[in-house]
Amino acid sequence: MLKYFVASLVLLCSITSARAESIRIGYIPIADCLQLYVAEELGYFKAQGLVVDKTPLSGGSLIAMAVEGGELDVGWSNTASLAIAQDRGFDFAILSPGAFEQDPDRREHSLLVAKNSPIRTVADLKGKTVGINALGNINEIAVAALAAQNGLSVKQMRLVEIPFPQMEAALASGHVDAVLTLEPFVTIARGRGATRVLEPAALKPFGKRMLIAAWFAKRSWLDRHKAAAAAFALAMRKASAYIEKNPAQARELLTRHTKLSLALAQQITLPLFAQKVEDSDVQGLIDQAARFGYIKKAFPAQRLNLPAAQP
Amino acid sequence: MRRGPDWQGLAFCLCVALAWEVAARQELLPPRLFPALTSVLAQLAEGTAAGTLPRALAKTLFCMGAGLLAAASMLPLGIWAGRSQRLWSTIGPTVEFLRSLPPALMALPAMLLLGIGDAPKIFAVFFAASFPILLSTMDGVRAIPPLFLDTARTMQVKPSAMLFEVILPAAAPGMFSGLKTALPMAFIVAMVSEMIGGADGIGHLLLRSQRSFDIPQMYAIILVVALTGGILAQGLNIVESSCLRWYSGWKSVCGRRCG
Repeated sequence: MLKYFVASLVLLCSITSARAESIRIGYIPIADCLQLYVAEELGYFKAQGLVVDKTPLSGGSLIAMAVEGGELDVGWSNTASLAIAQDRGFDFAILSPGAFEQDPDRREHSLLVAKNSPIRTVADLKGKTVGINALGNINEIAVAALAAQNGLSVKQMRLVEIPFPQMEAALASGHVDAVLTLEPFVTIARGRGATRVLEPAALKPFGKRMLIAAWFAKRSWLDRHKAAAAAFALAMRKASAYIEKNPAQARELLTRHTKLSLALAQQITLPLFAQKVEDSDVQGLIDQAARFGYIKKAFPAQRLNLPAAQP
Repeated sequence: MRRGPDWQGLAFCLCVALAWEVAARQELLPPRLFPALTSVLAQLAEGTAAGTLPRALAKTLFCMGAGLLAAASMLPLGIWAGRSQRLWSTIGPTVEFLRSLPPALMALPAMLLLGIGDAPKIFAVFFAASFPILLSTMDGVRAIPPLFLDTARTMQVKPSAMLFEVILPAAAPGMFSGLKTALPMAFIVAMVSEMIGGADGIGHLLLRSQRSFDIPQMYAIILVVALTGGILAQGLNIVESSCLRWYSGWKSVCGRRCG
């Protein structure tokens, strides 16, 4: 009897001690975090002995605070927030790229106006009200840059905050003249037919290809958990490859992890999930942010510790 | 009865401030999330000099004031409801039902109808402040000692004089009680509604500071909010004590023996 007990105890210990490293991840349950859902469902984490404990949160800045405070190890955030954090002295580093936007057909963000609006070009937005989901972040920088490209200053427009789900109603009621929105709301609005696209690639001032969001951690955590960080990055890379090679299956997977219906998941424009991020994917955003005063000074993209490519 | 400066209170305040400074410098909490009091005060000075804090605060106080002014329309309704049991049986159930709706969240449906500007915020403040004012005024009127009303009736006082010289002063303690509840609620609701789809105001600035990782500014805003709330409450107390001079005198003489 004792023999069996000891044997099973030894077996149990060897199983639990087999390279199981646990990381706590913060994310937002939207389509852009697709790599996370894929990696989890297809077992990419488990294959490397990573145990992932994921926490959905409602905003990138909340995730950043939780990572800074040590409650989470890895978080998902848009690149603008990471640049602003860097500017304010926070010490985050990018572990793995997230979603990209790329010309011509991988553009998620659009400027919409009401269908019968007299506004035909971005220059017509002078003196008008534009709705964005969060002031002081990536969408405001994009509007500032678009305005400058069209000979306007963003100060000649009135920017207001509207949550994404309410943007269409605000356009319809005439309370705003234009909104900067993203998928799936762009597709939803197109389906309802009451809006028109003013600018199909609202983030184009940041470059032909740009990194919208990334998975990040505190540099101090990175230095202490190099193996877990590398394992996480590899799992994300495999997930990106899977998504690009199997878009239909990836879209179907989306319906299980977000509130998207299958029909909607099949119609929306998916962002690009590239294997490797270049400096140029991020530098455009940093430079524009500095140009319009959202960060104090531009800095080289490398300071965000962009991961090197794996062969 | 003269009261000197509150030395004990001040000393306690300073101890708390000192504890904050020491705890922050010792990095008992992550330093970037818990800055030292000195850096927060520096940010406060900078924000005041640059005008961002005063402008934002002025905007919030404007919306709050407008909402409170609108809620003042509840004063006559409260007096009427206190005097007329029939009115209260009619509107009472609806009022009680509406009262349980969380006022700050009323800004969201208000945005759909009133647009994106000050209107939904003012509506949310009006909604929040109305109930304490209405109900406390009503209670104040109901609590008027019957002796006052009987005496006035015996003296055959005109209806207008009855209202302005008997009922209003007697109901004033109830009205002020309602105002003292409504004021901090109005301030809070004004700030919260700014966080739901706003573009300016101190509540919105707080949210925006958090999003831009401007942690010292976040704390500076919290200090400003606490100071402002304290000043407003004190101001109301002063107004109340001057309006209700008769009441404190009467209470100390009569107590429960009258009316």
